[in-house]
Amino acid sequence: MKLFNFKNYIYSFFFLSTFVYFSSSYASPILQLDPDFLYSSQDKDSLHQIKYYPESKKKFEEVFINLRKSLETPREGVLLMKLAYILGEFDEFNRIAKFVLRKQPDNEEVKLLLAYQAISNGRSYLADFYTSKLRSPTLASQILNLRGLISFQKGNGIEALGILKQGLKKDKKNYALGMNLGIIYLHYKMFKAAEKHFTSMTRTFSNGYDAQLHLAIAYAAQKKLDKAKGIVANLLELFPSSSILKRMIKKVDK
Amino acid sequence: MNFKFKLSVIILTFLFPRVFSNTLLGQSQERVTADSLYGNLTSPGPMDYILYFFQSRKEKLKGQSLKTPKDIRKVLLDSSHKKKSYSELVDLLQTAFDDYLFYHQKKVEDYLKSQVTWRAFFNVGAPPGFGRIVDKDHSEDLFEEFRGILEYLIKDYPMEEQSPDGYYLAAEIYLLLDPSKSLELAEGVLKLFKKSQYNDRAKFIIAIIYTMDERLKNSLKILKSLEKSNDRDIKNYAKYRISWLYLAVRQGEVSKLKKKKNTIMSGFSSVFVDVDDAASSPAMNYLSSEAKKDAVMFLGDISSSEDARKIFSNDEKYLTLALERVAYRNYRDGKINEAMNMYQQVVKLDKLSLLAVSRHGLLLDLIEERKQFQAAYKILLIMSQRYLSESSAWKKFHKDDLKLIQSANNFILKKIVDLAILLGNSSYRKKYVKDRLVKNMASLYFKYAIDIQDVSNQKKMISFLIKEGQFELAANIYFKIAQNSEGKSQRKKWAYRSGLSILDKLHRMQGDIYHYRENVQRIPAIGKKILKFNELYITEFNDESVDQHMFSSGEILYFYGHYNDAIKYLNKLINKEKGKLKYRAVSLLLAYYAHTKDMKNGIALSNIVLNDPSSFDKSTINFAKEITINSKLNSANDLSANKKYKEAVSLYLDTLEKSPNNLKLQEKIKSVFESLKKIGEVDLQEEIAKKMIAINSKSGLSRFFLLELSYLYERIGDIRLAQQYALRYVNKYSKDKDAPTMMYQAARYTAAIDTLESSAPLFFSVIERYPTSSLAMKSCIEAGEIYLQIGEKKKAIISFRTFLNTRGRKSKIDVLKARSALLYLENRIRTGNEKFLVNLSDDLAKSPLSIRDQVGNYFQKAVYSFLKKMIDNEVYNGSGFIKDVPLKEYFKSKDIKIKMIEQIFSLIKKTYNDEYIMAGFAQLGRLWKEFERNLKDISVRGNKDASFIKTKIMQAESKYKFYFSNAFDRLDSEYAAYPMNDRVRELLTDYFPERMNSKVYSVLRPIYTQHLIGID
Repeated sequence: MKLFNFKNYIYSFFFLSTFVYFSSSYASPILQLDPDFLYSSQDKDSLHQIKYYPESKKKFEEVFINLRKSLETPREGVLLMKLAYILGEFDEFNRIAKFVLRKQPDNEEVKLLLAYQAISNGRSYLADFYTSKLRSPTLASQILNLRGLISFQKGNGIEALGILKQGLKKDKKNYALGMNLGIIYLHYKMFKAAEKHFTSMTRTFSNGYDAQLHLAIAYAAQKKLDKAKGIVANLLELFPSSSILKRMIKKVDK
Repeated sequence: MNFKFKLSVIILTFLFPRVFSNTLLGQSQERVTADSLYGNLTSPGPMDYILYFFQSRKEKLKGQSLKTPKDIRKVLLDSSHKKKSYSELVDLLQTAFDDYLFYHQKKVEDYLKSQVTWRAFFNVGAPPGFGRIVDKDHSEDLFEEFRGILEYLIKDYPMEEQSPDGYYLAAEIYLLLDPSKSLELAEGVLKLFKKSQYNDRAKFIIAIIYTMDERLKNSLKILKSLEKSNDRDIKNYAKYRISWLYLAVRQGEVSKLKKKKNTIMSGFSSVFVDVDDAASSPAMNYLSSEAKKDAVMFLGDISSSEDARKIFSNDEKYLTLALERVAYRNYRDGKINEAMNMYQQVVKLDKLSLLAVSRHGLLLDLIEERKQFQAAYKILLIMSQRYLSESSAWKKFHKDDLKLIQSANNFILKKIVDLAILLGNSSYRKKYVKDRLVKNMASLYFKYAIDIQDVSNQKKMISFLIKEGQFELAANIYFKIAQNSEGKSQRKKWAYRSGLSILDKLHRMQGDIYHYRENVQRIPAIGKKILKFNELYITEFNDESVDQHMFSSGEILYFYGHYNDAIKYLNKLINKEKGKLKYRAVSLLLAYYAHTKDMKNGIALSNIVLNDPSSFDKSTINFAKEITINSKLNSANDLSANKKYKEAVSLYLDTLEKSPNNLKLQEKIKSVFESLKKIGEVDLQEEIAKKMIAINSKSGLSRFFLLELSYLYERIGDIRLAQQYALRYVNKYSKDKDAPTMMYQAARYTAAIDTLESSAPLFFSVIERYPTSSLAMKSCIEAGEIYLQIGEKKKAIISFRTFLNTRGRKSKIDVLKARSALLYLENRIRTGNEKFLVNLSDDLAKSPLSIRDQVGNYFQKAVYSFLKKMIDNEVYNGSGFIKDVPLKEYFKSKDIKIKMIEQIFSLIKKTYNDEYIMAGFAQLGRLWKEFERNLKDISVRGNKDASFIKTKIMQAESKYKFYFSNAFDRLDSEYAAYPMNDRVRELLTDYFPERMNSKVYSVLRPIYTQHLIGID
């Protein structure tokens, strides 16, 4: 298991933020920041650190507080928004979003963040506002991911599937989008499709723990219990304290 | 001959002093009548005679040594007359008198030059006055000497020693000094020397003195006796005088004169002499001309043109006079046409234009008495043409002739102007004269005025010309006057200014000045003339009105686009301390600087205006303000061009505060706003928009900015403010074309940030307020969906119904949605609705996946609700059928219904929404469970259909187990989050307790559903 490396995290964060506007091959950092349902291949270690090791949160908070004091540029703003999102500082999140948008009203990254937040709060109409005019090619897959979620939330699951598949074509390395697509397959009991999709994801993302977990679910749903068990056991080695994994292995054993 | 000359001079001087003065001073009189003018002509002309008198004496005495009065005095004093014989003394006196007259010859000539002298000379009326032309120091003494000698001659010498020549000389000299003494001496000559050679001459003196005393008949008698005189001169002169006296005595008695026509004619002809004779005998020539003049008068009054031609066959001048006189008589007698014909002949003959004098009277009469304007005009026209054609020939005339001609023409001119002015009156013009006539006259008068340099008439003419609209001609006269005036006189100044003022008016009237843009680089002739004379005035004078002329030139140059030259003039005015022209110059220059965008100078001038606003008119102040604003705008524009938007906007808004109604500025701010929008400068956009909304511009820009501000807030994610401004827009401009959009947006904003409940009325109000707008349809669906979501069924029905019933452009998705939603909401089971469902299903099946999925939710809801209703119906009414209807038949009908229900259920299965599939399974399970219960209630014992019933019970059991299991499986796994779950769970608990009791919720569910937000 990789230990949480704060320095590396911050470095990668800044590095990615700096090049977000210039590198089309880069997977947008927005999705890296969603600890609940958005995943990135590059920062997921850090995210998992926060998720599974709450004590590391403090260090993020320190960075957040220092940055907030010296907030000047929109780029810093975007970074702060991501941190605020991670840390659940939603009041700050909105304040900083306003700050950034006043300086860069067409900053699509920020709008995506706002849309995520809106969706998190069940406000699909609001999320619609933020995403309806997004056109950035570098953020294409992220935007499509979000639109897919909005459609799904509004009950248009098939439309959501279509949008997400389109998004995956644009960027195969979009972890969050891949996860969401797989979950919707599972939702519609399309277990074979889910299995295929998650298998390919685990190949693409060597540290895609969530993808591995959901692959296990797809196996289990098709009564391929051995395969499911194997995956869960491996994960337990990585995250021995995870209660979910423990419950799951019990269920499979039954 | 000397004697004759002296005699004539004396006689004429005594006889006609006033007549002379009348002739020469006629122009000075207020009113000259026709008769008085004719009188002038017929009176003996003194001028020719007197001049000729001195001329002849000069010729005669050529080569002789002249004696000064001193010499004469010396002769008289040194030679004691007492010691000299009478005859010697007479000779001495004769010589001294001749010399005396000769000595004063030059002085007389000088006096003759001026009328004043003539007046002085001829007004004396008495012999002492004669001495006035003599040097005072000597003349009186000299006369006293003469007197002494004469008295000595008469008294001191005894009668017998005296000779008739001495007596006669005394009579002659006393005619000057004392006419009564002269008469006494003349009578003495006749008495003392009966056969003297001086008798006839003495008689003549007596006749003259009788004439002076108006004893005309006595005079006539003496003259008649002289008709047979041996002295040819006396004889002829007597004849002539007789004719003259006939006329004088019989004046007015035409018939009597006609009888004596031949006598009178011969009397006049007797003194007519040939040209050769006249040259040798100037005095006779004089008498001849006098006689001819009198003959003319006579012919004119009494006789015909034929007679005139007879008498004056060799003398064109007098023929002309005579014909003219005849013409006048015709005219006087009312024979106008004859008179006109005669005048035309006269004009052909008249080379000197002297007849103009006579025509004054005619014109006056025609104009003032008879109102014969046409006739007067014709005469004037003839005269003016004559005048013009002959004017160059004047130079050859004698200066006095010329003077007379000029004075006469002057008079004509005056009358012409009077007539023209009279004709210029509209009433006369309409009645008598056409415009063309007046214009012709105007141009002729102009030429006159230029030539004669008569300012008073020129003035009249100018006023006439102005009245007739001949402004340029009028101005030209003024300029001529100015050029003819010397030095820096007031008249010159006046003429310049008046001319320029007329031209200025004309210039403006022609409208050039208002079309200067088309005439740039081309100043019309009038403008050039104004410039020229302005310049002349400026260089010649240095008074207050120079400013006026500088401004005028500046203005013209400015309006014709010669800006640099214009600025030179205008700048001089601007540097003045005060003055109306300064302010006007400032206004013009301001316009120029604004035009050329010369902000530096423009601002400097604007400051002058704004620092002293009371001196300027509103438009200039506005101009200055505009320039100030424009300069600020320019600075602001520069700033914005250099991307210093913050400073630029601050300057724009600052300017806007000072000039809130400046539409140009507002437009500019709008364009800056657009650029800011492109580059995403939010704060500045917000600042501008709020300011513009606050000033509430009438240009409609506040509306624009309200709209933009709303969109701006949407863009930066501040939906709350976007909503506020959208609502403000709708409230304020509810009838605006963008109002439906803003209303729709406001509803969307409300749905996004407030509750759906509060947004639905807003959507609905789009339909109510703007039913024809394209957004109304969209709003119907949105409102319906929201009402559906929040459970306001009635309102949802209204919305969807309104959508379907309203004409407009509708998307297929929306139509299908509305149909499905209505089916669900109205929830009626009736024949046909099944068909409707099937049709809807077919429609959906044919639609693309994207449409199918979007409508699917509504469709499933609709189908499920239909299905549930049918099942409810079956469940609640099912037992009743079994009792009354034979069992197999019952089942037949039941099967059909169940098949239909299953068919409808299959429609749900076509969709991907497992929630409704689960619920549908549960409902079908319920149907079969109820069916099974009812079958179990029927007594099997003794029933012939017992086996059939058993089979059916088994079938029902397997069916409901199948359906419930399916429902249970879905409930157990991933569908726990669906709203239908509770209902399904209830059903299963009621009808399927054996499985529900053993239900263990999957540990897996939260793991993969937790990532899908909004499901729980």
